[in-house]
Amino acid sequence: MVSSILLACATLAFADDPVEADYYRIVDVAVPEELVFEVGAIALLEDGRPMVATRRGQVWILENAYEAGAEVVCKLYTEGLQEPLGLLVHPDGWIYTCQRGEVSRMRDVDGDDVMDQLETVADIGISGNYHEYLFGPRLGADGDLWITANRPFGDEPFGRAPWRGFALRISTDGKVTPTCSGLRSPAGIEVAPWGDAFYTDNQGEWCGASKLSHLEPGDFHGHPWGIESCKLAAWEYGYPGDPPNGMLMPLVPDVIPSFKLPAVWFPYDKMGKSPAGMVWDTTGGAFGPFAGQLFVSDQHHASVMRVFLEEVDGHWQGACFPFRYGFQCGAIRLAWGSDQSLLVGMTNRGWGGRGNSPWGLQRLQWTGKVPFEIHEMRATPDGFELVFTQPVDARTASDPKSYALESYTYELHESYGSDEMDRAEPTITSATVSEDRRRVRLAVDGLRAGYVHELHATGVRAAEGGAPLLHAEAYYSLIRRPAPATSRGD
Amino acid sequence: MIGAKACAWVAALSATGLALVPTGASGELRSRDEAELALGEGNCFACHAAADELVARVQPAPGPDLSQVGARVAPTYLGAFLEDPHATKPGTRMPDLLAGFPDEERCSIALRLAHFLSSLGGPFDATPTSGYAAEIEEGRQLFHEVGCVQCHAPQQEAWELEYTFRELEEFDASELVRTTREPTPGVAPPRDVPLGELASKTSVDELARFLADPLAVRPAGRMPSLGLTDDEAHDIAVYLLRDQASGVEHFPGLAYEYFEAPFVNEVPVPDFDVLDVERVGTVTDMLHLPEHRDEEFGFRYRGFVRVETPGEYTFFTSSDDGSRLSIDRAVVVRNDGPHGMTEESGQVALTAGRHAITVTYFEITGDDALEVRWEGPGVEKAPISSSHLSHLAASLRPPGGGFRVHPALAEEGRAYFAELGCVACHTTGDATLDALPRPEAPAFDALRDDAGGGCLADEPRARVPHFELGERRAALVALLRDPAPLTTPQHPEQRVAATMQRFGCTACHSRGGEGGPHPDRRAYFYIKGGFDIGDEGRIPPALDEPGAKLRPAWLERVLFDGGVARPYMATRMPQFGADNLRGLPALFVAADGKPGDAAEPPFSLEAVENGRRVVGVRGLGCINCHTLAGHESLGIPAVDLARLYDRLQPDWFRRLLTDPIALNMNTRMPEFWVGGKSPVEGIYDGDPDRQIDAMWSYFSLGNAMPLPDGLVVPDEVYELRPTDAPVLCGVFMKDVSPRTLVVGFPEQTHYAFDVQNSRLAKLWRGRFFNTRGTWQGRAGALEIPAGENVLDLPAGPAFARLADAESAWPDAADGEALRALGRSFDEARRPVFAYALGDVTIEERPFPEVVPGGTKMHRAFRLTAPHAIDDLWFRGPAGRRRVEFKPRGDGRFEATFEEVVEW
Repeated sequence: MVSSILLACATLAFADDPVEADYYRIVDVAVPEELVFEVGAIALLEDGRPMVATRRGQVWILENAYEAGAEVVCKLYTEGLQEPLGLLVHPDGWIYTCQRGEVSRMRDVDGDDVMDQLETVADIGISGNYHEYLFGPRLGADGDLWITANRPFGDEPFGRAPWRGFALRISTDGKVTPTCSGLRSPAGIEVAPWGDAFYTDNQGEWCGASKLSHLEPGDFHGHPWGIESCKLAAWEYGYPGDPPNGMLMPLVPDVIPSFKLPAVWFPYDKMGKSPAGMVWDTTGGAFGPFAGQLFVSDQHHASVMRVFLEEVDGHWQGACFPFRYGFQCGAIRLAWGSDQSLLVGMTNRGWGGRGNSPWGLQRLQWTGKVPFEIHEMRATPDGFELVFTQPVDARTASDPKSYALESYTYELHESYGSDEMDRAEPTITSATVSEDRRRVRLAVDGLRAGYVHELHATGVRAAEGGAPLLHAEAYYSLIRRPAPATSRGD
Repeated sequence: MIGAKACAWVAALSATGLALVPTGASGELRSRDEAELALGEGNCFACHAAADELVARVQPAPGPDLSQVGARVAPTYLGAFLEDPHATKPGTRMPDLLAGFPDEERCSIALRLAHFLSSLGGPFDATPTSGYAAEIEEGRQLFHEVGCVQCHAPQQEAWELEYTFRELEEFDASELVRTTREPTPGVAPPRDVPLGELASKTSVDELARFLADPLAVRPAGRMPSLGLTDDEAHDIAVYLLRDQASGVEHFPGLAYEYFEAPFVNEVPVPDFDVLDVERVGTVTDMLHLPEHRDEEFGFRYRGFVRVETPGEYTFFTSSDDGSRLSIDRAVVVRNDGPHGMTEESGQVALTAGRHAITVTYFEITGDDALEVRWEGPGVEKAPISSSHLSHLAASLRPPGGGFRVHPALAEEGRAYFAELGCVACHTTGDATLDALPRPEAPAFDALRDDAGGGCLADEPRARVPHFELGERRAALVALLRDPAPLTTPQHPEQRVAATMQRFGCTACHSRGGEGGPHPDRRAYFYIKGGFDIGDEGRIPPALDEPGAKLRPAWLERVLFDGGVARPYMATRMPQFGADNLRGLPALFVAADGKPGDAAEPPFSLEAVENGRRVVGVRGLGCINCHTLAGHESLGIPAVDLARLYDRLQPDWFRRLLTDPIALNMNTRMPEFWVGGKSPVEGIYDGDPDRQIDAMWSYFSLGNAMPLPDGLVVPDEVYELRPTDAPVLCGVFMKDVSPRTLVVGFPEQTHYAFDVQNSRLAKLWRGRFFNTRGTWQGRAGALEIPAGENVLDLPAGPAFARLADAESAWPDAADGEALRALGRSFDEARRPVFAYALGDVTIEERPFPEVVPGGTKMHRAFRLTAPHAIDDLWFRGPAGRRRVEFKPRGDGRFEATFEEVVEW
């Protein structure tokens, strides 16, 4: 009897806590059931209609996509593409895509929504392995196209092709420049609003944890599978060196100067298992309070995560946060709808995960209510600064015991994924709340560069209503530490 | 003869620079456990009588059975080893019985013992064995991946195994990618069981025999069986004895290479040089084919035929399908093309001596056979005997040739064998010896008074076994002084730990965070077939609680009967001998089991159906990763769901599903019921417990499970049928390219266009194409046309610049390659391909035409060039034609023509 009363109380308390759906609502995009809608790519046409490429090689134009409950009309734009996993509506009027072995561009000449012309923009060598996917293209600041290429697993029936496991740039005249090596399974590539290219990679051998990384020419991102290609003449940056097998990641740059530490690690299972597509929030607030931040989908967790980035000592780094769970299945692509909702494209074919569907297309809509979240987590010389979406309760937010902090890093090695290595618990010595109660400065003893700092702000309450955070966790990858502010002198 | 050299053996063998390595499996032990382990591994109770309980507790390991040692081990090695076992094989468990004798006497006794042992089952066959590069390569891979190197030191770094031996030798250092494993800070290096210098010990055949069934010689099970086939054991033996190679020799019979390929496109004669060799071997007659699959295979035999009388010889091949025979590189018998059993012959004049012979043979489908005969001066038409056939191979020459057992020395050796107490550890098959009583030695209990003496004394004494225990000695002395811990009863957990240590289980399996693969050895675990299954696909599972996880019957199958749950793992679960591990399943249960928790959930047919729905693609999609009753999953080949019920206990299954991460941090298995909510709401209202119970009821049917939704999709679903418009699909196409577009027409006449090489590759009629290999699971299959009348267009480019009509047509790799530009469509939505050769742009529009009696394929071409060209040629199935360009009026030149393919 007693236990059932307790249980009832617990349930009531649970029901009162805010849930993700209060702020962001998942809406189905009802494409006709007979279509196998294994989404490989989504783009928004200039007239606002979504264009969706499927893994079966079809490209569809969707009408009525934003009307809840309406039957969506899908018009076949073309078919016969080889596993297209990216679409780019280019200012030059063409629609660019990647097939397994080439970058192509397409256009509808007579305006009947049917593709009339496809041009091969660049050939990318291919050996005939199932895992040889190309992702992108994305338009770089200088007009170059960026793409990423998976490493193959197993058979290479047509002989090993170079540049698999690379990020490549294609100039407007079709010249292919291999740009970064050491990629494993780079399922997402995106160019930031400020022009830099970033990609997501999946945990596995030589990739200790899933990550978001900045792509700069000559980078080596850790996986040695394809770096034989760095001995070819077309590679302009020199052989990175034989990677050490079994070294803590922060130590690797001492051995391999071109080894690129990530911008953000996504700790395994805590933040998904297979990061894929991403979009920067360019809605200017129409999608809620996270304008300028990055959303990343996770194929395994059928979720969307949120990332805050800042540049510290010349390195882009930042924190990731849970954002929204509960999509139909493997979320691999994100794109903004013309109504500023977030289109989420899904497929779990070949890669299992959460959810209950083999494929799907859904939209995520902001309800207009602002969730109580850690908006930003910034590195400071002596700790972190947290920025909240709503004013915090000063009593709980200024109590160091409201927070728990742990740090760890990963090892570069041939085994699949890395444990969280060299763990420690840095001490939060003080928590100082700003006057407007939007910010809290955490002073921390024991910060370590090259380590994930995992924060649980479980005790912090909102000033209004006293609600806990919708997501109390944040994972900051402290690759570089900001230099102490120098006094102005005069 | 051998006596004079006896003392030199040791010097010769110990000069090989073998590192001194301690005995034992990986992992650190507390010194007392270490000492207790040493009691069993040293077989101490064979001499020192102890209580039965204590003997049972340490599971002593007697030495190898010596009844066939004379055949197994070279006599030279026996002599050297007996004279100084610790120098000859550093780290050996074998004590030195002769250490206390003066040098001369030691040599003399070792000599006599060697003669005696060589008489047991001998003589040792020192005939050279042939060794092929392919065998060494295969043995090298096997040695490093089936599990040998988790107990023995690897002989190659893991990164070196990414390259073949030949590549390692031929590649420049700058071409290699070397991912050397850094020693892990704070972790002791692996403790490898020494192999000694095998090349001086035995022969390929004997080592292979041992590897195939080590328990026959070493029944104590410390060297387990890895279930190697005879071929695998042979290849590993060739690899391990590769240092015996002493030049190239003729061996009887012909060497063959075995190929698997369809060959339909390659008749009348396949080009074996471009195919991968599946296997190599030798044959002694040319009347029977070596082992092969049923269809689509071929052999190439090479070697020499020896002619005694010069003159005109006739060779015959009788084959189904085709064959060819060449002598001294000239074709003598042409028995080309696919056909039933047909004999052809040819003549050639031969001088006396050896002549190179090559026979090629291929089989497409149906019956298969190949017989080769000859006829000549003094030779009636007959098969060529093995004594007339030879082939060249590396010669692996075992040591110990020319040795003969001297009966008198052997008899004296036998007396020493008895006197020195060797019988305590070894059986010999000699009934009198084997029946001798235990050697005289103090009882174990009495040793505490002389704990640092006897076998453990620093200074060896004659007739007293001398062990090299290294760090273990002090621990053992301490244990002898205070043996009380040996009578303290052990918990099941302690007994499990001791057993795992004793048999080296901890080299691969961790338990409770202890043991498991050494970090320096993890790279030697592999997944078969290159699947992306992660470490769960290659590292043996932790044995944290097998007593609670696995059903006892399955534990017994794995331990004693070769039960395999993870067929994709390259490393094999060894078999240690049922007698040696008989008690282990019960020990696991005693240590891990939670009696009462193992209740089976209720079974009902309704639950089975609901479980089936949960498992399917509209449920949790388990089959996205898991095989089911032998049906491939839609993705990776994770463990078979039809085996779960026989393997797992229901309670553990529930825990796994509820919180997979808690059971294995890195598992890729999703947790489906996040926050207690099921994503499948329509079954039992999303109640996780009831859904799990239903899955269990479903799994209980094993191979009789009804199929879940989405697992087996009929071919029909993937069939593309052009009805009113062209249908396009991009694929990997076999023998074409990984960038191929197949285009099907309502006229039921279709083509494959190779985008990679800008060429029309195949035409066919009837069924168009089935996309299963391209659209199911991870896909990426090499596809073939579905229909009939498949026509392969001429290989290589369709256009080339030629000096004249007679010039050789270039290969795809020659000269300037065609470059893909893209595609557009004509008014009927039929693709028009654009590609370029230099500055010439080519448009090709293939389309079918219906005519009386069938269809033709038209290829309409339009070429444009910025200047006049008169050396551009086109090649189609009907032959070559020169392309005629005409000025277009805008300064450019244009050519149009149509090629009609009838087939």
